[in-house]
Amino acid sequence: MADPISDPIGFSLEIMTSPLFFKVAVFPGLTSIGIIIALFIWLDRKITARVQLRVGPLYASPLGGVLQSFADLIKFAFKELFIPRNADKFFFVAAPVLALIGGAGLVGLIPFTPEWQISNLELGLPAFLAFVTLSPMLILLAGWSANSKYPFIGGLRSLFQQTAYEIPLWLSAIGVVMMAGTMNLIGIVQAQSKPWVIFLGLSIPGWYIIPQALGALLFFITATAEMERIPFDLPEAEPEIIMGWQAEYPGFLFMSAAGASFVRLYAFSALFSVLYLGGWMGPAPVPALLWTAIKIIIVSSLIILLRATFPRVRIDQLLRAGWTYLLGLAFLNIVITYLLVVGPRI
Amino acid sequence: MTSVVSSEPSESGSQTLTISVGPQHSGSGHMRLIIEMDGDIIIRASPDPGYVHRGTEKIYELRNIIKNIPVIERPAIIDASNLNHAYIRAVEELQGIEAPPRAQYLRCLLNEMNRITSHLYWLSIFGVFLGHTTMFMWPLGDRELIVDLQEKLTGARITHSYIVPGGVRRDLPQGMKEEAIKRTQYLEKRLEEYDKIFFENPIFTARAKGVGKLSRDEAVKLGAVGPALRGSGVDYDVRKDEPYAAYPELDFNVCTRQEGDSYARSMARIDEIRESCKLIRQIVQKIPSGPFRRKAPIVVPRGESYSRVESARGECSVYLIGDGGDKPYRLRFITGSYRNMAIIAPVLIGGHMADMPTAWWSIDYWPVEADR
Repeated sequence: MADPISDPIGFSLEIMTSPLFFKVAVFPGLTSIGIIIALFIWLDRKITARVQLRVGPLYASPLGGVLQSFADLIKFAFKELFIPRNADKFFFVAAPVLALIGGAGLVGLIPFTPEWQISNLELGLPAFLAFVTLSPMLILLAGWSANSKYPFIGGLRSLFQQTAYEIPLWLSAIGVVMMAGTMNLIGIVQAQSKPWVIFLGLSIPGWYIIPQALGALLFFITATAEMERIPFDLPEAEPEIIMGWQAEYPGFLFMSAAGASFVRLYAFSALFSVLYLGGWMGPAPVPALLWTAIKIIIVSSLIILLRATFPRVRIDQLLRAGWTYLLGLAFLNIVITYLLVVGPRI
Repeated sequence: MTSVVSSEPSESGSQTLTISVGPQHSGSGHMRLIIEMDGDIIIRASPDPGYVHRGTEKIYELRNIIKNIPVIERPAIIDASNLNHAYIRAVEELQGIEAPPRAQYLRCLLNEMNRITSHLYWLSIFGVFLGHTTMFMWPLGDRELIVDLQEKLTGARITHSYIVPGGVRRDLPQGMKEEAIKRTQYLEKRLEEYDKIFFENPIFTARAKGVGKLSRDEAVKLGAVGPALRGSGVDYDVRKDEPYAAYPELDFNVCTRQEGDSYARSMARIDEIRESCKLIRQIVQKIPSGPFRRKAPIVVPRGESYSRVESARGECSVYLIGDGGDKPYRLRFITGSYRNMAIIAPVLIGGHMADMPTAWWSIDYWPVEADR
């Protein structure tokens, strides 16, 4: 038998006051993820509204309706939890909740600054992408367990879509690993600290967005496909298959399902700024954490703007593009990176 | 758990999935499409209309000819005046009267404004069917300009009941001419922006070109009308082929496209919006002075009459039998959507499931108008 804890209250207090507990529970962990996701939903609605010459959320706070998504969250929480009779109840409930948790797990790998990171894995980048690979499985599970036709089609579409974007996503990330020489996310940011060129006294930062421009573009496109956002929201295409795998979900479970996509938007924007935009680095007067925040907002705004400007692609078009253009360009990017890394040494 | 896949194998030996699109489907409207899919390919499609059938043809027999006007407009409230125009022309033919020239111009003015609002409404739904949320909001916003103009002219935003036997209800209001010219010119500028964000968008052209093919012969054989027919390259427009009201004196083109796919049908409609803008400017500049209404009897004399007009969704025809009373003895009312129901299945079969909203809505089938 293990040693009994002699002072349970003291032990609990010790855990709760430890820095790791604060990171997991508050920032960058659970509480902050919840608040940031609500803000992202608001940003999504507000930016799209401005493009469409509308106002967007307005009344839920003095500050341009910023509390609207909190109000929606409360509304969803009070809805009846209705589960279809023919559904496989366990997996039906588990799939969206696991998708939300899996998305939150991604955030735990992101270094917002060297101090503000929950888990600094030596293989941070592959761990992140491996986590991402799980989400189409959960969507198929959700679609299958609902035992209804439209969710079933949505689940299958999600799996098809994964075969189109998954390989180019990994291959485009390999370019960064080749340049940085490490798979650790903090190491990747630190590798970008050396200035690229010094021109007229101005040092242009050595962020990988410049040498990895093609890779960054590919990563951006494939990440959008992974998040299932327009133009790649095939598994939940509303006019075709009425929200696809989300069709049967009620109140709170629908919120988890829809929220999971926004958690991934948050995590991928953060990963993009780490891989290509130099993470927390920036001119001195602005604190490091704020630089990360600024970069995340810029990247996610770009992804949101895609929703306002593009129609939805068709599944066969996406598969064709994935297996020809995206894959070919990803290999080309690796060749270019090889020449950039090894070329000067020859 | 019961399986969602049907157990009977199809002709090709594989299992098929039969799904019911509508009437609660976000891409169907008030109707149902029963679709059978082999993988992602639609092998059978059968439209199931009738969810909004209200027996209007019977209702027309029970009301006097003036009180029939609002009921005639209800099947397609976004295109009310064109439907009304067909009815009033049949009534006037039977009564043996003709509206004064100014009224003929005012009728055409409202008809063209209705054509624009109806096509913009169609465009916004077409946009959201393709997942383009901006194309959902922009046309609905710009439609307000023309709807306000309709309100200025008739006093009502939609369902104007403006065209009455013997003329129109109200004269052209002050400042209407300048306002109409300004707003149509603005709309033409906006159409160029639509082109940039939507119609020239590579994803849109990839989704719409070659989708929902309907050949010229098939379109004629199945009796398609309106932009759905003109998108297949048939140069048929009642306004040109059997001119009515002020259309013989106006200069406009019939917008046709040769390809016969979803893209051609949508572009035929966008070209029509441009033509209607030109027509509105012509009408307010050329409109003759004089009375806008003359006295008309309240009865329908004994006899038969037939009239047809070009509504936003195609040819709309009215066949009226009068028995000398104040109510129609019989009124047959055939709308564009009813005729176009025949081409729904041919454009869907052989396409992907994802092409269903694109191909289906490019016909602009309006279930309420078809069911009546």
